[in-house]
Amino acid sequence: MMKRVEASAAALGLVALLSAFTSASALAQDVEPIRIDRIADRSEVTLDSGKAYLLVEGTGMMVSTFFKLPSDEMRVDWARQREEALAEAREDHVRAMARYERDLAYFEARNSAQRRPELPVEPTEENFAWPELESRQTMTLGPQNRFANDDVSLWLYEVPAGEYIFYGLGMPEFMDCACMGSVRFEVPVGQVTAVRIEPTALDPRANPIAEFPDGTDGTDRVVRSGLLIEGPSELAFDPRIANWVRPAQFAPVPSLPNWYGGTINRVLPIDGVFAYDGLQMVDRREQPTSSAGGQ
Amino acid sequence: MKYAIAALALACAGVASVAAQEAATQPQTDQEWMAWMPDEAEIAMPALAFEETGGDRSNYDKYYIFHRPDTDFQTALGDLRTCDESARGLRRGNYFPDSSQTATNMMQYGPIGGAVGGLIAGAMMDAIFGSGEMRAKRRVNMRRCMFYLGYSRFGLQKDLWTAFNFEGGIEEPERQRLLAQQARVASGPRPQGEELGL
Repeated sequence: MMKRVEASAAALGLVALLSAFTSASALAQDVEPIRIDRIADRSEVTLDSGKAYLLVEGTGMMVSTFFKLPSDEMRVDWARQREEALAEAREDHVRAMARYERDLAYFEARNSAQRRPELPVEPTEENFAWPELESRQTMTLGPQNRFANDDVSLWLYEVPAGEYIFYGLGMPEFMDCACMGSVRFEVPVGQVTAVRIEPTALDPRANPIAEFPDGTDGTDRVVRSGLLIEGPSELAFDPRIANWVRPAQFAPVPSLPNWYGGTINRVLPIDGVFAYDGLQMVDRREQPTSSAGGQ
Repeated sequence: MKYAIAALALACAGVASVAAQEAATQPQTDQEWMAWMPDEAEIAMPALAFEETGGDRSNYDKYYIFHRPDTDFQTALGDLRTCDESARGLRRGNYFPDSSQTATNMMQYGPIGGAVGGLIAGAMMDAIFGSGEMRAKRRVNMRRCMFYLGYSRFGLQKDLWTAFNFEGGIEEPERQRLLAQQARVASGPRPQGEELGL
């Protein structure tokens, strides 16, 4: 039996908390979160060739977060919602200006020692902030609900088909985000798209090492932690689904916003996909695809 | 009586306009402070020389400076800001190498922490998780980001460090003044001691 999971619940909870501190227009933000379905760890597994699946191969009780790139349709609607909220904010501003002018006249007439009223800021297209739509399309897998947990941890979920970006390790409250370099990949219908993810120890030159030397300082252990993401190992080809598993095809993503104020990190370079030059990612794919292809 | 008042008003206006002119050259809003580019000569170079002790060495995970050879002050300040802002959740993403999608997103979303209706997730996190965790997080972020930008890290004695560094929870003008001092160090002569790496 599949267990329905409302993805992004943690992110939405945080958004609700943030909304309490922003203007009323923030409550108008309305978008369907991603629906994902866990494939349970059973001896018999039946997959649907009309559906899309994501398999994450990881270590122990790992938590990984991804987000789905929104469709053009969703972007248009999100922009419309912003325009409506901006219009509302402009109406509020008219009223705020009337109050300000009244208060200013009173202040000037009294010439009192009280603080001069502050001029309300007029909302404009340029200064009216609005959350990124991508931040509402996140999904977090793990630490529980594993499809397999013997030699390796596997998480298998039915997800909406589309293009995904690896956001980071952890959940919104405690996130190590791949904000300084990540990857995107398609999750098409009719297959299980697989990735392997592992936090990796690094030496002082940021080269991967098997483990930290004895006596490594606590802060150094946290700082010198890299994010490995690559295609699956043979352990991901679980007999129940082996014929369905296909390695994800990665493309580089130069930077992501730090939505949750977590630690910022970047994925390790991937042979044949990209290398780093400072904070730039150098595309090393043989035939780079067009960036517009995702929509 | 009314002439005295008028004269007083004119005098006040005169003083006010001079003050306004001086104020106009200094950044006023947080956004302006974040874009402020001072003359290098206006920014004092901090004191960096010290006799290293074992106690100093044990604190280099917390007290350090960044430096990169052949780097000018403006570039160093820009890089420090890149990392500081990324850490604070103030940077837009770039999902596609040709940036075409980012340009569209900017139009749709407006600025992060904009003048109207913006809220910075990092600031919220400060409130929720408390200062100790935020200090640790900032150290992680600055060390990683500056390393990947090609800067080397050198240890510094705590008292010297405290004069021009911060761990979080400060107002924007003060933050930018301290980042400017850090940029002088980052673009100046090679600091003493060994490179500590990431």
